[in-house]
Amino acid sequence: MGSTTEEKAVVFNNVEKKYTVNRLFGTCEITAFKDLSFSINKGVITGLLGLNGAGKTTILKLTTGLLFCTSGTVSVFGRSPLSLETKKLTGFLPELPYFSPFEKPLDILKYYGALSGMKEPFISKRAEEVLEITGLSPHKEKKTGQFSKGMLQRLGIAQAIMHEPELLILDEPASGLDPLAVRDIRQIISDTAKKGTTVLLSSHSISEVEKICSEVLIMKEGRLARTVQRHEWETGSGLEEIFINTVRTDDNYMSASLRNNRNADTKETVKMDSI
Amino acid sequence: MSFLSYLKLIWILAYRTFRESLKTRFFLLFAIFAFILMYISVLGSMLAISHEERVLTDISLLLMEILCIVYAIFQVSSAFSTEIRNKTIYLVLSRPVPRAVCLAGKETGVMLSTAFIILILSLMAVFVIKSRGLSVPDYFFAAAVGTFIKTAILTSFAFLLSLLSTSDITAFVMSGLFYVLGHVTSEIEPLVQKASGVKFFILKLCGILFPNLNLYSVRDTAAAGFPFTAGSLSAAFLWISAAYILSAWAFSRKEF
Repeated sequence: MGSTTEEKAVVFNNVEKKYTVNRLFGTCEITAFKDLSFSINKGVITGLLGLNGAGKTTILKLTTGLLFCTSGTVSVFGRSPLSLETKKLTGFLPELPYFSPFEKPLDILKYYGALSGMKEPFISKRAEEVLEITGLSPHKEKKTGQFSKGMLQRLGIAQAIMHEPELLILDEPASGLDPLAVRDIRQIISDTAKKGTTVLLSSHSISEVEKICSEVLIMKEGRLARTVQRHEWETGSGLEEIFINTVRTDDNYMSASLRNNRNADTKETVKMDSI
Repeated sequence: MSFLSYLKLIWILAYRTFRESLKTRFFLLFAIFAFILMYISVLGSMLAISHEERVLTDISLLLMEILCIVYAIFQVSSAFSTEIRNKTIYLVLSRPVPRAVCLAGKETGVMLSTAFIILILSLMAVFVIKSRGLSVPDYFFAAAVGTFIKTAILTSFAFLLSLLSTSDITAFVMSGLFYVLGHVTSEIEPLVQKASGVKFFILKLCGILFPNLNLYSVRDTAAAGFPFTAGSLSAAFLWISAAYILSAWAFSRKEF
């Protein structure tokens, strides 16, 4: 990682995130991750891989300013993710996005475009353009209540790219879609990245990440277990093998101090997989 | 961003909230239920042989207020939890929309929809009164405005309570309790005069902190002229603003 800070789109510096969970009597804190540091270069597609509860969505939410870090710093294009300037440059697709079933896609895009600070007549022109990009133009007269899961996902991507963000954050963009829809969504993401947009996506689908990403961050139990570059899985045994080896054998390298911290915070014993 | 662009954002969010609330099945069922209830109130008024007009109007206004308050509290207490469940709040807050502006937009939207509900309920009440061959008293519309002011104050406080509580039901119950307390605030003043020391201080503080909703129950005073004083209108504005500022503080710390 020889890039300068100016070339970084996202920087996590010793980030710790604790969630407060309400119990019947009082609360308890659960550490999602601790001392997490990584950076993402501008203009690349970076994938976040990890098992359930590894902290992928937490990273995405911290990057969009929906969550606040407990300690450490997160910066997006050198600024806080909470600043409005940063948010103007960011597009976000949450997992399984919801849209009002009574509205047409064009109205939804115009609404989110207006919230992003776009103005007419550019808003209408861009909304039509984005519908074309995402393949929703033939369905623009339908209400979203008639949309399939794949079409809703396309609409989700459409709202995320509506204001031409410099950083696109996608949480499970291909989750639960049929193979054709997955291919189309992969194409949309690739085309967006070719225009210079930085993409950060989380996924459970290793094959999708393998096809689309230049770099992959493998998360395990709240820490960055490994960063893998494209040439590593292209010249080696493939990303799936790397991922499985990392999440399994990585237990051996997990520092005792981190285990102790997690145990202390959750007041529960973290059961470690023994290989 | 300029002040005007913030106002524009508030309007976009408010109009959206207003439209969304009218498109729900709950709204339709609520309107049907309200109409049936209003029509049944005719039975009650028929028992009052000589004052049917007064009784029917009073029952209609009371029903309007209760229904409107229940509607507003229900809307507010589920406003954020529904948005969190649907993840639509993510799509708003990940955009360059300040949280205080988002909150103002939501509050204005709920107030718009309650104003619309009051309008519909007023028309229903007028229909029921006219259908009995009676005339609508002059104070009816002032009382409807009073109901709106009460609902606006309660909406603002309900937003605060929903942001501070952990479940929809808690927020609903607390807001209902707040409505009841708002009607006994005026009873605190005589107690303040009798109290001394710490008791005096606590009661005085309660008298200031809890809005006096009786100021806007104007069925009896409206007949004598314009029922709202500059003081009561300023108090409403201050209570709404204070609750909004506290809500904005709570909302700025909320994670999604």
